[in-house]
Amino acid sequence: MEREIVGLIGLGLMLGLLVLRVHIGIALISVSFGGIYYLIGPRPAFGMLSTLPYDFTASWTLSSVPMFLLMGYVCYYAGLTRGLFQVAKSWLAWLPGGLAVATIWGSAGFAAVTGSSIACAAAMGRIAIPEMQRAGYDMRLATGSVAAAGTLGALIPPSILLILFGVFAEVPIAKLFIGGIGAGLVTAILYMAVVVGLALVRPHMAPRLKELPPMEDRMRDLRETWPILVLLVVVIGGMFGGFFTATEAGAVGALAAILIALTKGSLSREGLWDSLKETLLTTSSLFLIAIGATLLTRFLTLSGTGHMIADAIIAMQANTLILLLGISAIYLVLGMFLDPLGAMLLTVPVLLPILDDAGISLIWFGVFLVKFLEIGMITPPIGMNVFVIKGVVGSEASLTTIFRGIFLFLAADAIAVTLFIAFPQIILFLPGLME
Amino acid sequence: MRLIGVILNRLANGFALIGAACVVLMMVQVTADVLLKNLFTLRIPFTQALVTNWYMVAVAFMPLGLTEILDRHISVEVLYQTLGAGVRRVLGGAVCLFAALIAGIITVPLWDEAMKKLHAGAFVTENGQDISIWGGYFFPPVGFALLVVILLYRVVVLWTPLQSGMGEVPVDRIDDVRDAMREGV
Repeated sequence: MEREIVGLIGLGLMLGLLVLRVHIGIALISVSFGGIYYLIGPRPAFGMLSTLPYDFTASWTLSSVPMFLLMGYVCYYAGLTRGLFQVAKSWLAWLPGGLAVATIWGSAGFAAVTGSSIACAAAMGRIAIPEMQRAGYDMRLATGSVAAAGTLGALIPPSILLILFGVFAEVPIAKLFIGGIGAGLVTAILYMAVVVGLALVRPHMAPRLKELPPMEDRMRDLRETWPILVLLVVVIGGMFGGFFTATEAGAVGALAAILIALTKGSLSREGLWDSLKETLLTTSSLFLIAIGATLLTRFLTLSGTGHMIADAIIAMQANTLILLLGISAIYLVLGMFLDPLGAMLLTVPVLLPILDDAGISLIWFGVFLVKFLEIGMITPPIGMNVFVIKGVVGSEASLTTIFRGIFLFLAADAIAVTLFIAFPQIILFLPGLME
Repeated sequence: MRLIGVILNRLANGFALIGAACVVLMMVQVTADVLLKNLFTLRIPFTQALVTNWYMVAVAFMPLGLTEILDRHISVEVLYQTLGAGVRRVLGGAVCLFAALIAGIITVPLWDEAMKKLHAGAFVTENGQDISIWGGYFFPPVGFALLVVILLYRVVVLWTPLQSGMGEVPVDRIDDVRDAMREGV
């Protein structure tokens, strides 16, 4: 049998296993191992299994993954992010749809200390949705704005997806992180425009608040956010200022979060254990998939299937725009069914040679890719952020209501993606300053 | 049967505790190293070697069992959630059996590799000094071995009327509303 055919059969088998609910990591490992065994025999196949899991994991760069996870979980369990919505509300509630706008900027703030869009949506949803309900907001807007704003979690650094992309694509994590800031801010501004526009056109969906807090209260709320500001300065400032690498930033940020939480007396022993446990559970499940994806890369290389697909696409001589539109379409579809990490690690091994041939900046593409994966978090039928919001609101809003609420934010995302393609400097300007 | 489940649960939590200790050690040591480097141009010896060859490997592999008990390995639920309860039990058991087989196939070469490193007394050298790293090679096979046993236990619980004592999150449940902290992405 042709080697490339073996690769294609392997990919088909893998999809079959995924549909049967085999863990993504196990599906990747089993098919890749089986394929390598078939192609070059048992000794090299077992040889890879004996060394690859350790060699992949024993990585200095990847040690930032558990550290950034820990920082986010500590902030979550210690309630360090609680004040973010309050301060955003104090200062932005005067705008049309002010509470939803506050949700978006509160989420952007939360995103600066967590790499998870689900954590971002869950944390903000619990605080912001009840407030919006009390103020008489339409549930579509209340739930949709939180679910969409949650996607900022993985775009604004730190971002677990960007770290893993950086490792696989061999590009500097710090530059990816800094590139994510531009994309995250543009996304937040567009989301805000959606809310303000909607509130102006349909004021009944977002009644204006009658009383605004006095300046004294606003300043007090602002002071309450000092833990997040300290973490932001430490992590982003430290990386941008060249004091430490992204890997070191994770450890410093995690320890700083714990010390701040202990100083405030908001981190219980249970809270610390929960944060550590969540860090471990997430790390082990992520690494199982990442190890599988590394094996898949080897299998695709050995079978030549990766290059066959890449060559076929390159042979089309499509210009960069068409290529990007094609890739966008693929991720839109994958994002509907696969979780972001799976979608990324399944496709990046095939896409890298194509991107290389097309001369597309991998820093730009990494951020662009994460944006698409995050869009997948709010598109039906499997929109993880939507499920999380559903969990928060219970029977007060149906899944359909939340998906309807997201529709306009998806339109904003379409504009954001178009802007990223038309003006790559939105993503590349800040990383360029680091050179 | 219940007692086996309880023991597996304790083992998984114990292994996770080792992982948690390594997370804390990694955080403290890297931070101390960064501070000393920036303030006094000093370094803590073997930081990179310890983080990569010991802490990271323990953090990634020691919680594999607990991750399985809490059903936190990432999978695609599109079709599964639409199936009837009986089919979910049968399919869930078959999937666990398949995963146990694959995890078992991984465990054997990982164990052989760890034994090789043990006999060779594997170490890395930093600034002319050696630090032993062979012990870290045992984390992957030990983590995977516990995963295999837990998966097999799940199969028995799913396919027989026996009661589980492992405190696991059942794989045959219906939940389209996921736990907020399910994934870190």
